[in-house]
Amino acid sequence: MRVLFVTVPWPTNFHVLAPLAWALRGAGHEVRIASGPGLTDAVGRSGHQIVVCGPDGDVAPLFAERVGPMYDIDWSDREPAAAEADAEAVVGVFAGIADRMADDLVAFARSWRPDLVVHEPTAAAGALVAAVLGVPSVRHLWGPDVTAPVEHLHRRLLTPLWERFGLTEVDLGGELTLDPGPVSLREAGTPDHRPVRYVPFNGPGEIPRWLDAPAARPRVLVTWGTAMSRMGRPDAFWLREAVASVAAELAGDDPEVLVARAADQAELLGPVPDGVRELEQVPLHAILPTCAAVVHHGGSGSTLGAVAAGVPQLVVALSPDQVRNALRVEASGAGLMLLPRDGGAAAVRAGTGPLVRRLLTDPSFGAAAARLRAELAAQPAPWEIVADLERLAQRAVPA
Amino acid sequence: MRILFTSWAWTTHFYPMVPLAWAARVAGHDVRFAAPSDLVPSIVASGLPAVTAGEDFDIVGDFQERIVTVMDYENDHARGEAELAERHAARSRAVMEHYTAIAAAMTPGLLDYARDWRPDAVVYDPLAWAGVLVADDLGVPAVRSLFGPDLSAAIRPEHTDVLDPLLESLGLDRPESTLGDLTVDPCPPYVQIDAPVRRQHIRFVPYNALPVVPPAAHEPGRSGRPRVCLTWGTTTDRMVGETAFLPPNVLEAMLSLDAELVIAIAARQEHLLPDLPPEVTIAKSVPLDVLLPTCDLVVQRGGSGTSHTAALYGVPQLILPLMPDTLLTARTFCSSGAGVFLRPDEADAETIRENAARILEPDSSFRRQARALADDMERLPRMPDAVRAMEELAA
Repeated sequence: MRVLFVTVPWPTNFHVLAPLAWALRGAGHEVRIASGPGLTDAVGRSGHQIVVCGPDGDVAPLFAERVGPMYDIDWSDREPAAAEADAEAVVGVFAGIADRMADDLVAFARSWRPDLVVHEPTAAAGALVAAVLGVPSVRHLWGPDVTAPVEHLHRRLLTPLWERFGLTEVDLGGELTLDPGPVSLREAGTPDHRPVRYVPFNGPGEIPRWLDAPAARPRVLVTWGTAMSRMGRPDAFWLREAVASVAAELAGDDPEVLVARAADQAELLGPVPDGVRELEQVPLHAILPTCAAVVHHGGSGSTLGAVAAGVPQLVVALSPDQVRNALRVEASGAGLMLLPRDGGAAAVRAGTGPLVRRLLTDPSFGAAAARLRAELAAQPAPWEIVADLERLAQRAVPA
Repeated sequence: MRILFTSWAWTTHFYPMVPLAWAARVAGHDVRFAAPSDLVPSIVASGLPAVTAGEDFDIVGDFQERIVTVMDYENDHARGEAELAERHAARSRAVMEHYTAIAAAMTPGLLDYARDWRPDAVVYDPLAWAGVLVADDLGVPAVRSLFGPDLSAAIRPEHTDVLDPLLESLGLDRPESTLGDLTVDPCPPYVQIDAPVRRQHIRFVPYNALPVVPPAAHEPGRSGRPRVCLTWGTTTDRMVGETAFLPPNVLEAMLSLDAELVIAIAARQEHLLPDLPPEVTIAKSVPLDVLLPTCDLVVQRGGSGTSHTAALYGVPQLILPLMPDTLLTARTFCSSGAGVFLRPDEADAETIRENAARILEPDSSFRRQARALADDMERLPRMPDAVRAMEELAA
């Protein structure tokens, strides 16, 4: 069968889909990834094939314009009306992308005739194209179900797009939602989504030889993902503070501190303290399994990567989806969180090291992380989902 | 488990390993693809975790020096039996020396890395003997991942005096065989050459490192005439020389054919094209797995990626091989009746044109056989079956 994946041009959203797309190809199916031109490089570096739809480059600047200023908001006591307006601004970014992708996407799909559409939650154009063609759509999450609570906003903002294609209603939820996280990390009240095992993929890279050799000392990794540095808020990018805090706390002790960063974060990070090892563009999935603890910003790739590797995590979270990841990690016992909204950089500098110390000294964190890892490993691997998708597409064939 | 993949720096060998390595990843295994630095950008571009191991090696130079000089297949028909036997022996020894030279460059670094990372299995391209030497040293299964007809099965290290000095210098024992414990094989079974190996057949999965698909590339031509794809692959001009790219006899034949002509090239080959009539379509860096299903015939030089992709999509082939391995690929694929191959000494423009026209006739046996071959390939086991076979071997 032919399977069309639809994603906004945001590499981290796409990375979670790439293993399922490979599972389908390995089973003999044809796959195309549809996205804006901004994803061309990321798709190329996953081994997949992109069909470019619409004009959108990197989402980060669009997103930064709307979301960057929100980093200063205290979400815990935000007025409901103001919170709704904030959410609408975010949904509006993605509705705009869907609108700009739609013509190219529908034209391609009408010609290529996919049997199934898989889309990530922020790519509403995926749900649209499935509805236009009358084929089933599958929603593939990459973290907490960020869109379900704001479905009414999607509906409102996207109705003109549906109408442009002669539709009054489009099912954004799809016939099936795949959730790559461990079931016990789900938020209360999350619908009964189909679990699929997260296969860590953070984009490719070259792995330094020493990383794959047995480590002489325990390691602590600090990373801030790849997106936060592109949000136009260098004052809210706290990798430097976190590294300094962990290095100071562990100075003279056994653990070795590693920092993993993207190539474009060299300046933001600046020089690292003595003894800290820097890794540039090295995939997290190759680093995490060698570590005793990890500090990160609560991005879904980092959170799920730490779960997959069974590593206790400290989540220093800022934006709402990051805070949601942090809360769930702490509740699971596999880690701790630090919410430095009020204290900013100073709070990160003061708080990170001591919390890492707790992760390293209290064995309950490691035990809980091992349980999460085992839970994830027991979820069906992407290739085990392929038969479900085949059945779904089969059932949809008009009689 | 941990699975170490390795290949020498040649994309023809590397590409078919990519879907297998990804299949291992999506089944939950920890994968590394280790190779000399020349291949590392290709590995990174496939999304696989790359490790630099082993020294780079001038494969093209060594190939041209050792192998091209003794090929001379064109004159075999004029050789007597004794002279032919002598020539075969010289070729076999040259190939053996070539692979040993590659192994000498790759093995020490790969061995160092693997002794640290401790894989549970090693998957190697059949000509990257470093893989089997390393697996042997670690005592783990060696899995041979084929890229086409099993040419390497015939190249057994019977010239022990060639390989032994390398083994001695590294303190390694001579492996029982360079064929490994399992052979993962995408070649359709009845066109494959027989060899004494445990074989896991799999359905071929195209991968060609061309990530951007023009939105209409899958659509058939609009001329109403049969569509012919002419491709000279992406490695021939590097291996044999630029003058071997789309020779004049081939172009002349194609331009005289009553068909819509599409020439598929890599972007970097554009300067090698002569002036062409405006009705010829140039498909620049369009993946063959997208382009070929729109075609009625592919004319090519016997590359394994092109041959498998055409076979998978039921496209008949006219193959004009230049090198020993491509001659073998041509012979195996055409033995199914899904195409015709012409040796260099037979391939004048008129013969090429006649054969192409014969294949293109509506309902020709070639078209039927090509469809039958495609059906057979679709019936082969899938990538997860190969991964399971590796798991069982390592258990």
